[in-house]
Amino acid sequence: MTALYLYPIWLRLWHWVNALLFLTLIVTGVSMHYSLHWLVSFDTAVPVHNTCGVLLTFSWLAFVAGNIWGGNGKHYLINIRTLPQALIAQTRYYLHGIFVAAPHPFHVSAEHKLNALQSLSYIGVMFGLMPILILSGWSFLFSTALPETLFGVGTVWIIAMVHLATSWMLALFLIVHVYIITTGETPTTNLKAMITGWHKERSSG
Amino acid sequence: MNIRSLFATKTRRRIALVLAVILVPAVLYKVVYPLFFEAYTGVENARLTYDTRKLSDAEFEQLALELTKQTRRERAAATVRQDQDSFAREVKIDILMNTPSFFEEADYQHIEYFREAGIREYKGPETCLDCHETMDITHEDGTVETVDTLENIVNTVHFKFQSAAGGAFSTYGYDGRQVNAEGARKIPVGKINRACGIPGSFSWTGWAALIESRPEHELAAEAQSSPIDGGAETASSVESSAGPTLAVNDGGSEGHPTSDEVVLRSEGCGQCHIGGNYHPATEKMMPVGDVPDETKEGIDCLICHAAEYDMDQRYVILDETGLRWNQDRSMRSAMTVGRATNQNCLNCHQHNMGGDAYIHNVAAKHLGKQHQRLLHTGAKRGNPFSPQDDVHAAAGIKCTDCHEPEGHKIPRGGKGVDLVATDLPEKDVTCESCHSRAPHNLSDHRALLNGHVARLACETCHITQLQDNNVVLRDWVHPTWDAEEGIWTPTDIYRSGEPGKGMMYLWFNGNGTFLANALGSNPEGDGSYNPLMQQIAHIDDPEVIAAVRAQAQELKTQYPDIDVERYVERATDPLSQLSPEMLEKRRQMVSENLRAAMDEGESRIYPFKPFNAMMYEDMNNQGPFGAMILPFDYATYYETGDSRAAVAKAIQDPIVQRMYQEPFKLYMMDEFMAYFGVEGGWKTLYPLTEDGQLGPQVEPHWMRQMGTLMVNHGIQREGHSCKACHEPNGIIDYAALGYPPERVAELSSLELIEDIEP
Amino acid sequence: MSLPLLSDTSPRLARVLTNGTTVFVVGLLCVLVLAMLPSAVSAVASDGSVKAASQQGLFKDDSQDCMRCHWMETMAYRDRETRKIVNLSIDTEAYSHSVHFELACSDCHARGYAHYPHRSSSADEDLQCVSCHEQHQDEGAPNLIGLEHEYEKSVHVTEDVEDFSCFSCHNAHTFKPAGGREPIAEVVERTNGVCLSCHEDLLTPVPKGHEWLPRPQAHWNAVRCLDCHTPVEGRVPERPSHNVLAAAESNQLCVECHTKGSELLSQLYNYRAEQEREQKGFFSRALYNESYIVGMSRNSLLDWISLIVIFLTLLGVAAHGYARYRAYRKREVSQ
Repeated sequence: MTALYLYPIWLRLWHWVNALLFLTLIVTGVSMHYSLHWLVSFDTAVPVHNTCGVLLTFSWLAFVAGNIWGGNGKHYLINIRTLPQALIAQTRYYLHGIFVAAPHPFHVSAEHKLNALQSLSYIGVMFGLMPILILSGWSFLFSTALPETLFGVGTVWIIAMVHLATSWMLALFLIVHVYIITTGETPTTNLKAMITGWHKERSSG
Repeated sequence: MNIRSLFATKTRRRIALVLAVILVPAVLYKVVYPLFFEAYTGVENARLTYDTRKLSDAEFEQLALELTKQTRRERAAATVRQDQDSFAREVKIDILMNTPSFFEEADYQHIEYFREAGIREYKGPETCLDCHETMDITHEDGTVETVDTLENIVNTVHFKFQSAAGGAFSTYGYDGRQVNAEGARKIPVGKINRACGIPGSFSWTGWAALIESRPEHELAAEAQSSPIDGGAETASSVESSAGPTLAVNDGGSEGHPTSDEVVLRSEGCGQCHIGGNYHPATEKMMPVGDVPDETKEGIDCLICHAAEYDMDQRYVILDETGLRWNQDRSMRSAMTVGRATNQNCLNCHQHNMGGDAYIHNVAAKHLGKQHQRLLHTGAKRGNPFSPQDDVHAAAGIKCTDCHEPEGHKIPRGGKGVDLVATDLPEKDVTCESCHSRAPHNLSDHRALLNGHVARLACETCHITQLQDNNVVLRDWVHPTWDAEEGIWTPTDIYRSGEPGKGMMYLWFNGNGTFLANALGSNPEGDGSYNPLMQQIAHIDDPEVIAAVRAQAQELKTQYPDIDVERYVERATDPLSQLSPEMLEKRRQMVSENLRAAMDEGESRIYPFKPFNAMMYEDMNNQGPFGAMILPFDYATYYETGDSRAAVAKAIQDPIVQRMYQEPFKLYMMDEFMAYFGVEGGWKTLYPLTEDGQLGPQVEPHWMRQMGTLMVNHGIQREGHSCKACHEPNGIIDYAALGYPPERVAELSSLELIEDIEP
Repeated sequence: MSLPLLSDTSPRLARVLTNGTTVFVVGLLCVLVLAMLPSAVSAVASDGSVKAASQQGLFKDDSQDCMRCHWMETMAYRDRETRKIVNLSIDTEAYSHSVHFELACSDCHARGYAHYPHRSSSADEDLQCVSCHEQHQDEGAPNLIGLEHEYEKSVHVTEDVEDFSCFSCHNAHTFKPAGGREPIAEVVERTNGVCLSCHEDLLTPVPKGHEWLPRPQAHWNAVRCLDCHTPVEGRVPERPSHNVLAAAESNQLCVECHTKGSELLSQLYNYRAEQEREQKGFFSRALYNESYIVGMSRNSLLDWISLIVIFLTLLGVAAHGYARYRAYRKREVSQ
């Protein structure tokens, strides 16, 4: 039995705030997008969505700051040399090993808490999609300050499409993310870790 | 299998526990609580029986024929124009009565339904509910809701006579709080218990009474029975009513009683109410519990729904359990059911509009087959709704056209000066909803007349006066003998329907006080308008004062103790009864607590019927606006004229005793007193000493101001002329209404209307 | 004579005016102001003499005579021909805030009102906004010729609507430039109220001519009639065009508002968002502005692709999970 303290309190707090904002944004966003009045009334959905969007921006900035100064950043540093190999191993595990009780190709340690697939997808989400989402969201808020057209198409429409596409991709990520966390040693190992901070495993090393 | 084995296993024990959790509260609620409630309050319930009989098919058809013929003839006669030759009219009526398209509309629909369903006996609500178990209610926004019919009616003000719903009252306590406002602790208030200046309105002590009257002359002509109760066998069968025979002689409709003879007469609030029980719906006063099923079976559906309801069946009967009101449950009546007609509403409501003595009060012509109901000779409002005296009734407008019901809930309108409960406070009943804000179309001055709507209610011009017998001042303490009826009655010190005397004009924004004083303010005023210190707390008219003095002198011949000058002062200046400290307190409460409720919204000048009464009060519970009024026992009062004994008798009622105990104090009386303007909560010192005498705290008093009742019916086509108001000494006292002096001069100068009414 | 009336409507002003000193000061101020702007006040200039503030607009003596009756809020009558209620009341408060507040009644209603009841012909006077504004251009009356050109092209003129004039839509007694503080919903309600007061048949569940429009009453509450019924070209944000288009020429393309977001956003909502941002600060107004339009971000292709991808992912995840479970059970059994 090993226990590693992987997730400091600020990180856990940030994670769950972020999760809450994500859910609220998805629910209000979907209800606005499809005008589902029974889900959230339009008059409520708009200010809530706007407010959560702004909070998400702060949350994202806090995450970036935490990575730079909180020491968490090291988990996102990718070793280019070993990456292809690690990726293949991880993918093979998910597609095959996991069914035959093969050993996990990656072992969580204080230095490396994320496997290659994880760190790659997290980088993509946090440093790729999130900024796009946030910027497009803010553009919406100030759509009146934008030029009327861009490349001959209405600017607002372009922004809307970008915001929409990013949102869809992030929703996709959320589904996969929620599923992948069940693939720890037991289905709840990873969830517990994100709640308590302690990553516990029966078999060590 | 013994009891123990029922709990042998864990699973069985669990099931037993769950069952207990469900059953024990149910038993407590349905069985134990009602028993406790009846024991505590002293109210009684029993199965209510009425003498009904199953008709044979032949009898049914005979009745159907008569009723159909009668309604067709009435409708045909109404259709045929008046100005035709009488012979031609008769012929035309005959033709119409046999014209299918005409009688399809005129006939009573339920005769056919009953015929097909084999209904030959009317057993009360159960007969109605056979088909009408649920009903569809169309709300104002157009949504339709299906509800349980019985449940719906049992929860209306027409059954409960009170409401504890939030926002149901536009009434403000003298402490400045809106009665049962959203967020406040709700107490049930309404006709059932309101602190109104009319004794007997305390519905428990005044529910049903049999009075031994000793008339000195033969009974007045109104004793004759209904001209329309034709050959219905069922109607007369009710006469052999259930219960023990009364020991005294039932004079009633037959004979010419002399002064020695005792005639039993019926009296009480229950005469107009739809519940047939021994007491009002007392159970509904509590936060839990419901009236028992047998009470619900006593609901009188037909008084509102039968076109041919026989008011001669409304009289008090005595059975094993007690006194209650009889109903018309004849098949004849049931066969004429339909939507409520105006006469259905007026069966009860003409009593408080035109009054019992109003010449066109139809119900008052049918006082009962026995134990005839006592008539109240003074009118409560004196503004009748009848084709003879109201332009809308004459035009065939139905009550429910303006008071448009939602299910059994009937709106009274958002404006209410008193504590009469309402089921639909949000639903408007206004002149404007039909007539718009520009109602005058014919006059050359129509725009100018319409302009007046900004400051005047329609009623102000279009009710030019009330009935002459409208009561303004009534003395309950010194009753006088009514030889004709053979009873002691309260003495009306002043009656008038004249503007300025029996009718007053006040600013009104729809709010009222706990003792029915209209609130409002002058939108162009100088802030001097203060009705609670002035208009409704003083009578200044010398003619009225002279009339009061004459009555007081008259009364002195019978009650030598009366000091006439003092009597006149108290009756016409009720504030003279207050100590200087109380008066100061009153001034302060009016300005601090009621100002906001007066200034709210849009005030207009409305006509009001002013009313004050001298009654016995419990001075332990007094404030600057009045003290707790004590009820009278009807029988003692009417039979002996001993008003003190009548109070002593009435307050022995178990409910009044409970009222003077801690649980009731906490449940509602403290709150009641706070609204009443009485500080320090309800004092529970029971006003009856051990030897059955009234305590020293019981004193006779006039209320400290007049109540003002809204008058909205008795509308006349031709309103007041311009001159009625715009001349010096016109009917409106502009200075009293808070106009600044220059504006008073302008408004009351004839110059204003010289171009219009030269 | 005039005082009681003043106190009816504006007690504060009445107090000011009863005070002789204040009148003097006000008068002095007027003189100073007028010296700088010699032709600012037509009533004063045309008389050639300087009057106190109490002699302006509704406070002029002869105006006071009119207001003896016309102050009554409900002064109105039902026209025998149109069956509509004609309002004769002058809202003193609204008038004093209107652009015409300096004008006395007799400045416009010149003849036939000396006696009561007024001659019925006195209502037939021919008041002309455009020419009056042209005459008083030097006194600051805005030029309305541009508006007139737009108006001449509008369906109200080309279809020869009977008795149509400026006054059919505008009340000279209350007219004032649109304020910045009024919530959009109220602006919409107010402006649409003007149209709907004549086109009242549009308040039915399936309004005539708008059968194609989904949820018409929701549109009436959120969009001005003019947003669709004026030409797209040449719009200015400050005011709608007076060229009101006929049904056939009006915008019927849902996508103009509901996808690319240019049409509606470039008018009222955009204008208001700008205005409010200036007044209330960049940030707070941006967050709670009212300019989201349902469907603006809707693109059916993208939506479908995304929904399919999401569905497939869910399917994949479910299958993976199920396979894991089966494998797990198998191991359990074998052990």
